[in-house]
Amino acid sequence: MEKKATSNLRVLTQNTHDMNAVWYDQRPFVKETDVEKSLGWEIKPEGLCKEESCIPYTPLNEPDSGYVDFLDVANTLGFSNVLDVDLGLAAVDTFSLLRSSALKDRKAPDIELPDVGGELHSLSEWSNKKKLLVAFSSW
Amino acid sequence: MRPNAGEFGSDTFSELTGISCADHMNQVKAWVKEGEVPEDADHTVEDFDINEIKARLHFRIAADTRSEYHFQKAEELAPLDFTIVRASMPLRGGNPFGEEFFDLYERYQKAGSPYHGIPRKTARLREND
Repeated sequence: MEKKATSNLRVLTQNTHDMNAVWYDQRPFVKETDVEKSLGWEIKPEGLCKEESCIPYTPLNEPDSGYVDFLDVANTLGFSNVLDVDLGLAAVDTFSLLRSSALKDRKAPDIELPDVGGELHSLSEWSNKKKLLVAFSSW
Repeated sequence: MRPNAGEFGSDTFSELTGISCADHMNQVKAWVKEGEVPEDADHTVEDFDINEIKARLHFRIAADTRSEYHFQKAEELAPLDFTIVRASMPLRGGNPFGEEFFDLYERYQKAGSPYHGIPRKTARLREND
């Protein structure tokens, strides 16, 4: 395998996450803690876990650093992704499970949005009340 | 939950869209006041296909880096998607209210105005309106 010098990887989800990466064969390997911070799933002995859910997973580790193959984790979770090696950037669709679930069961996720004063409110604050969600853009 | 639908709360853009807000606003009023749910509330909206997902990922990178390569890839994968193509215009030095927008809008209408939401049932304006 061709090893590239350690460099930064920026992961773009709904947020932006910067982390160190070791590159093998143009694939970034990162710390397990950075996997959890960016993708929301933790690598445990029983697999990839989030809250009470775990799916079987054996991480692919880079031998020297022990870092894990970031794209392998994303692909295992079913998160579509686009990697730009030259830019050191990976965009990952971590929203896919929530989106497909909401489209099927037609239950609105308990999203949180700021009011005009910046204070966060979640939809559940108005549970059992009619809610009309208006989204628009001025472009 | 009634899935998302592209509707208008006013007639500000009726001349452009040919769509009146009246029917939709009546639907909202009937739901708020009478609890009347539109027949299309059980419509299932299809998820994005892989090209639409990849387009959003390329756009995400382009918006962060202004990479023309990723803008182009995003547009190739979702050529009629406003959230990709129109949103790219100001980021690429274009005008989202200019000729390129109206070109996009014409292509979009010719393609049947595709989007992920409930198919339109509320009224379009008559020619003489």
